[in-house]
Amino acid sequence: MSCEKMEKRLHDYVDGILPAAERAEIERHLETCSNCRDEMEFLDSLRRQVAALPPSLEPPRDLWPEIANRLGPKRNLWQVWLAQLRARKNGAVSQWKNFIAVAERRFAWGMRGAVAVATLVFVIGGVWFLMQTRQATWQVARLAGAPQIGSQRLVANGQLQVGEWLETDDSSRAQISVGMIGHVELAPQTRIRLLNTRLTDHRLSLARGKIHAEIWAPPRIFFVETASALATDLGCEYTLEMRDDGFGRLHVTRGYVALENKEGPESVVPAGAFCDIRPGMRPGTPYSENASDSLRAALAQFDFANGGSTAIATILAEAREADSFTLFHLLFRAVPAERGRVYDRMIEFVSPPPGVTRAGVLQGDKRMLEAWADKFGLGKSWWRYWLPL
Amino acid sequence: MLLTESARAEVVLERVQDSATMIPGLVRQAQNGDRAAFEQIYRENVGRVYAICLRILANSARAQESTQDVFVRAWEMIGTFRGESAFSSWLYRLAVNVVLVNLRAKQRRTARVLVTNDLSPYDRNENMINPGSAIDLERAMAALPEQARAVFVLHDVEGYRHDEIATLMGVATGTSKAQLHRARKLLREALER
Repeated sequence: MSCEKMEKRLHDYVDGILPAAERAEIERHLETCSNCRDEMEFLDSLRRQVAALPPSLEPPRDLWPEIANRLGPKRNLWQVWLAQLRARKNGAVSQWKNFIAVAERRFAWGMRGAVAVATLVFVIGGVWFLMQTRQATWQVARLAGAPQIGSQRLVANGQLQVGEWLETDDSSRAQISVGMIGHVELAPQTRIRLLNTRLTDHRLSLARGKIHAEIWAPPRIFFVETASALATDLGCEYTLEMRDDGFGRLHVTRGYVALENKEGPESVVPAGAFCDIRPGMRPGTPYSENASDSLRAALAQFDFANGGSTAIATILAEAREADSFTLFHLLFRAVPAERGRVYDRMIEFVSPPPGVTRAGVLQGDKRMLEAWADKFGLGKSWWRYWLPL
Repeated sequence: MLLTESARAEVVLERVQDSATMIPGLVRQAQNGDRAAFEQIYRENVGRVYAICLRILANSARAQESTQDVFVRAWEMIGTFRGESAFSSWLYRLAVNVVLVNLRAKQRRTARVLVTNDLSPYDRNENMINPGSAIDLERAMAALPEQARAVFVLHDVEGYRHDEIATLMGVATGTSKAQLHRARKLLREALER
């Protein structure tokens, strides 16, 4: 390479922007070329001289008085923006960049303002919600007859405190306001107790009778304990009826309710479905309001009387499309040898989600099971509580 | 890049110290309209700003005028400083922007005159302030053509990269490189004369 071409690259070499391979080439060239070595020496010398330049140079006179005379009232951002706009019209490229930068900042400030306002509203709303829902007592309204809080007969409205019992007789009914998240109506012959009013845990105990709950809080905030199972609200409306002996039934009319106890897997009951409860046994398999009597009977056999394979055969024979949800629950309750035919019957009514295989499901592939849960509109977040069991 | 690593480190250290000690408090006061605080900012930084203006413009009167422009603009825009960099970095970058705008404005005026008078496009009416021991280099820099001088000052003295210079000056990166080579070559001729 000629020295003329090499000289241009020498500058890049000195500036440290030359690739390593080319640097080596330059260094080899420098060993043999005195002209280029001379140029290098100059560049080194220039670097030293530049480094020795004073960073500051005092102006010959004090400029402040003139500057102070030119300082107007401090501009707000809008004025700066307009000034930048005028500067842009003069064709200054750098001013245009400043204009963009200022506009971006203005936008960012606007966004920040919006975020601040939204945060404020959220915080105030949250505090208000907290205050409302953290009431240690819940309002009780008499709907009929003479409900009783503890030993006090309720004439009109009353307060139910944590630990107190509310009871209706043959002819009375009452309604509880569950903080700000819903209400619960007590049918005649019902006995409940308020257990908790914490923000994330609104809890009643249903000893006997029938309640109708309508809750609009996020899932898993409202709970009803019974002698045989815990009913967890997943955003819904439902009726729960319990007898003194621990037998009961859940009927969901909107949303979902989870039923669980220590005996076995959770049942997730969708709208339009029932779920039976027995003392000392896992919650029953949910079934449709439209399920045949034979199917209901077979399910009762399967869930509570060790019906096994005979009961499953009846369930599968009786199942219709509306019962596919029941079959999905059954898939995880049947013994492994039965699961194949349960699955085969289920996919006669509902086609599998994309990517889901029979073998994968039968092996308990979580992703595939969750895909099925999604297919039934159950979502994943709460269904996974059920899957490992 | 001719600014040595140690010199660059000193500049960085100086900026960090500025930021970490007195400048941010003063900036906050100035942002609230405190002129006394802004005067102190001026006192602390005028030498550095004037050096940038003088080296790029090579004319003391115009450098003084540009220095005033820089601080007036800084006062107007100080509300937009959010502390994302050292304040001194923000101010010196503003100074470079202002002085380049003034340089281009002067070039446009000169270009119009050239049509009829064929005067030298380069203002060599140096009224330089003696910078001390580096006077030869300062004089040689002042004698450079304007664009080459601006690129040399920004690259070798102020430590800007070619892509930054290209953006600031509205030229191609290759032009910035070519002007730097030209400047260094002319400086060699001048310094070895």
